[in-house]
Amino acid sequence: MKSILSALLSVSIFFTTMPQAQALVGVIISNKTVKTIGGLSTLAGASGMALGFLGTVSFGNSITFLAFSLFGATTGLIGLVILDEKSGELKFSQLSLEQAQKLGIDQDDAQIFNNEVEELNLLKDEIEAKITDNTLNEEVVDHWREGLKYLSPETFSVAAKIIDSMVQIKK
Amino acid sequence: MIQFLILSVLFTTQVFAEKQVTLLVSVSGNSRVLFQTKDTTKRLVDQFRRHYKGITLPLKIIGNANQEDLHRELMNSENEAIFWVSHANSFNKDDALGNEDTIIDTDGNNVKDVFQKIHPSLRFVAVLGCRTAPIMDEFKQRGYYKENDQLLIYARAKKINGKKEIKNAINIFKKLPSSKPSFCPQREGYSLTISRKIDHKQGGSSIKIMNRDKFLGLFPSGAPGEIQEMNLYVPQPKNVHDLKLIIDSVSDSLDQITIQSEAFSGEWKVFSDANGRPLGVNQRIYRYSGPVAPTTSSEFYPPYQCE
Repeated sequence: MKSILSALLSVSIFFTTMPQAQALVGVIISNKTVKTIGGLSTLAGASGMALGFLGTVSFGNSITFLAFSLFGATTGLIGLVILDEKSGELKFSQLSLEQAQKLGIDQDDAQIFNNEVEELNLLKDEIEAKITDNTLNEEVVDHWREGLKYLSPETFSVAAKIIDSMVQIKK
Repeated sequence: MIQFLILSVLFTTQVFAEKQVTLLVSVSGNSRVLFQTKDTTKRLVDQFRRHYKGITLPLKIIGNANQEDLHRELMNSENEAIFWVSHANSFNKDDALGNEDTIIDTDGNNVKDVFQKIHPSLRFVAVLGCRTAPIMDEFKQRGYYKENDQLLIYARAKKINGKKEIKNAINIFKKLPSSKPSFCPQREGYSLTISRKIDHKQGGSSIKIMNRDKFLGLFPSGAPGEIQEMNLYVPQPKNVHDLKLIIDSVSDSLDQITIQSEAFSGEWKVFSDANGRPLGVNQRIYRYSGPVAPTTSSEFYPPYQCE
């Protein structure tokens, strides 16, 4: 009887829980985000460059993201996974002193990055809005090359290191 | 275990003004209930009414609430309590690249920053969405509620069942001691006048004004041709980057924005490409260039309208 009640309760919770469309778990990024972030990394010539070549990819959590990044970076294999655009957008955030030290980023460079992080995110969103699944990776890199004219080289370099570190961690 | 955030609940004795409780439901669509499809908002409102019985304060209900409704009610001194119900999610902040925390309204706006400003007369705010506790906790740590000396915030750190949490939140609200008269805080800052001319034929949707990651205010939606003006305040800047304003909308109806300030004699320029085209999708960044030292002294201002 207890198990029946428990099962009924589970069913009831399942049906009354907020709809799944926007109720998300872990880090999720879309294929367009992967392309966009990958384009920036590629432009920097960082080891995470193959991110840009993954194609349509979605990640359920950061470990999967890192695993796919590493997989893509080392094999160049194209991944095909479903995506959910309803997730919280992927954003760069200001670096703490500890994070900068951990990534080997100079304090002055970290400060410049922190001063321009909103502009960097705005450019990322704009590039992401411009591209489609069929956009060539070279075009994404070109978009970044154009956009980065409006930011300090230090911001670009720190952003590339951040992306690269997320791939490096899993190596 | 219920994880809610007690900012502070102080003793008190009486209520001086007619107060109300406001429920804002911002969950669109239908949900399934054992093979039946029902309007989600109606189900949540019915649940709320069921558990609200016994509370004598008048209840105001706003269905399909958006960020404009939320901001208005959070700043409304007549509200004793606000219950907000919507989808939400928060993420870990271990890396400098990660998903942004979200509390989404029916229009698709991320309204999380609107919760940075809560009128000091409010005693209870329930933010009912998945994993909203870390968001509200971060705002508390940043000091946004230091003037809210009788506020209790109810938020959960896990995925939630909306109906169950409505019941839990109401039960906690029922146990609150009676309120004391709220005080009217004063702050010190430098005034900025921001004006917006709505030039879209369909009119303009509401837009948020942020000073970097700090929520300053919100322009309401408006009709074509309408001119809106708002006086906002910023604290003493340390450098030019502290004088960066972000105009954020769910649509690209960002219109013509102008920023003027007596205190800062330099120029506010929109972040643009080489041809002068503003960069950004549904967002604009206005950057200040010029002397950072204010040319006028700071002003004391009331951040909230008081009775």
